[in-house]
Amino acid sequence: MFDSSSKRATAGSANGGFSVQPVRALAKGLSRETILEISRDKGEPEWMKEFRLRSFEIFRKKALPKWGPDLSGIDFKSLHYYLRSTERVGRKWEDVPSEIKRTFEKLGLPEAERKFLGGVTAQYESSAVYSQLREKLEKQGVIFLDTDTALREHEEVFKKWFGKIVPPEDNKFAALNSAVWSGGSFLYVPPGVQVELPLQAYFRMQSQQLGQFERTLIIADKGSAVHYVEGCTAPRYSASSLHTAVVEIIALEGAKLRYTTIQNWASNIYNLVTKRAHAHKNATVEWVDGNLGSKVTMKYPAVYLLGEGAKADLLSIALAGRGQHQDSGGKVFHLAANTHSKIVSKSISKDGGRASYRGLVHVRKGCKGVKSHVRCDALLLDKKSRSDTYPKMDVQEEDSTVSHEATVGRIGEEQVFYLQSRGLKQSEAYALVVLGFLEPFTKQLPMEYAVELNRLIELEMEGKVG
Amino acid sequence: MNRIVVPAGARRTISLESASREKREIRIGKGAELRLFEVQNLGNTGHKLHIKVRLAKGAKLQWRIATLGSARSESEREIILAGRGAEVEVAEAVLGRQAQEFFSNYSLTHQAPGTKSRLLLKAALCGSSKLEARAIARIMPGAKESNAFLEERALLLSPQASCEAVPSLEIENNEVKCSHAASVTRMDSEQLFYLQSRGLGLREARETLAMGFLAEALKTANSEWLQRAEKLARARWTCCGVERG
Repeated sequence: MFDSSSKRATAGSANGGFSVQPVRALAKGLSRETILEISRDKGEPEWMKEFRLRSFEIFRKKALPKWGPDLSGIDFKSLHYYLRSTERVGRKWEDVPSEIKRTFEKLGLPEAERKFLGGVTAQYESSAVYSQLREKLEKQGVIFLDTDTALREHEEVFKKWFGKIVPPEDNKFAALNSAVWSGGSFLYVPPGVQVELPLQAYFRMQSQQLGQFERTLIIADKGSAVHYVEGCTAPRYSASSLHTAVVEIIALEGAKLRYTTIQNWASNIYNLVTKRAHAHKNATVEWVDGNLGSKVTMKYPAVYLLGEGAKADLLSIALAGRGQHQDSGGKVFHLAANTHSKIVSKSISKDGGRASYRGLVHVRKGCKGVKSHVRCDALLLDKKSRSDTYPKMDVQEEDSTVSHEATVGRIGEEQVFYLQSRGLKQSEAYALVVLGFLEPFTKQLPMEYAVELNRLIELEMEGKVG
Repeated sequence: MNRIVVPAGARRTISLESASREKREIRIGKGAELRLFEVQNLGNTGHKLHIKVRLAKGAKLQWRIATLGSARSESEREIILAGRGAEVEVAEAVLGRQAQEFFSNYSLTHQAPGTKSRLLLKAALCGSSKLEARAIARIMPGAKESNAFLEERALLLSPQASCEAVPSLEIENNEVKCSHAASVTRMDSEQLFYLQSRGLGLREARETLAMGFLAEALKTANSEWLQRAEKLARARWTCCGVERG
């Protein structure tokens, strides 16, 4: 089942061999014709074409959200909605901003990886580790493909779940993604299968994963367990200014699923993402979510606890620097009895950046024995920066315990003084305190991510005095 | 518009009895102190309240609110800490029963350095009563060394009662201490059991716990007002009776 992806990786052709060949950029802007052309280009089934068209209508009718960050800077007319992979490769290394190149340098990334992240090459060399992993997964019956291939090869299971968790009606950007989606990951884990190693989209080496409008669909069947990791801590550069992804997750009875993602988009990007999971009876869904980059991020991973005994665990960090607004948080809907949830959010604002936590905990009437705890900690590193907390608790059931706590503060002078007295420079002392603050998050990451994240924070803190 | 001015350096105590519609503006002058006591014990009517308070340098406000009556009560309390070192401490107790609906909104804006605010909202909700509590504390860029603490606690005493709590913070200065806490829970069965083991009937035990829960928000040195507020709350409680075994 990995045939097509392996072919792509070795053949070095990002187009795979299924797309219509003539290479021609679609015009800027969005119309019915654009959608039809995307669908035709991909050779999709009729129902997907209809779905795209319906979503487009919804996108046109829906207004921008009236709350949250300022989105008026998005010019929908000047965007490219569909770029074939081959077109994307055309960018020159010289075009990648020098600031980003410097960061790559300091992070000590291999050259191939730098080019990949800079959007210069579409692919990234394969490794032996990956093919071994792939064989093992194949034996277990795990399907791990890019979303376009999955639609062609596993239409039945695809159709059953696609668009069911996040319908296009949900919000303007979910509608936009539904209309023009391309790429993303599809993962199906059969009943009872435990995937031991974290599955990384990074390893899949599909150029399409880098799309602006990725669509990810993950299904963990009964009693299975999987950890999916996406994104990377190194800055990712893209010439386009809008990234709108939709992620749909289904954890069936007794399944355990963790989704780890870190975004570090370049500072020109609006990152507007809808992520939602359904947790059935006794299932556990964990979101581990890091937001470092972008100009504006709006992202509130949600879990619908649909079956008795289901659990949700959300852990997120946000780092807002100059010109950034990180509006992130989490939502949990307790729709069955004895469901539990925990949300921990940590944010850092510096150099005039703004970090906001926006959360919701809902307990439906009749859902007894619900427990939920939300904790938000914010660190403000200077006078220019800003931190907001907008938590909402909507409790309609007496037999439940819902609590929330939050603190906002700065780095204690005595902490810095102590570290300096032990011989650290001031910037090192600050970096160390910040790393300590983020530690509950960092220790949940796979090792290579944690190392990179720590290095990145140290970089960010350099030249940061007071 | 009803306007109250507390002149610089003065100390005042004001008791307000809510009318079904009211709009007030209160100004507390330099170094002045105001103690403000409010009881809302209306019958089965609507209630709309908007109070705006502005505190000058070094002004202090202690504010106690007992919200008991009205079928639908909407209140908006806007507090502006405009002068350096101004302090406000506000506490509201809400007792809901039957199909009462409460919409309680607070905004606390710290404009000057060294300002302090503390908000405590406690609600005991019986019957099918409902509370929407929204509070926001804002620390403006110039308000360094400020302190804000928001606390919202709700006790759901019947399966039909519900509560929505949104305690928000907007902080634009890093030399501050701000936190908030909120919880929605039901009555602690261990505490109930304990009181019953000491000889109280279930009804009395529940009353003791609910009143004890609300008492924290009513606490004040003004014993006359406190006694009255507690008496009215107890009278309301007796009417709500024991909803469930």
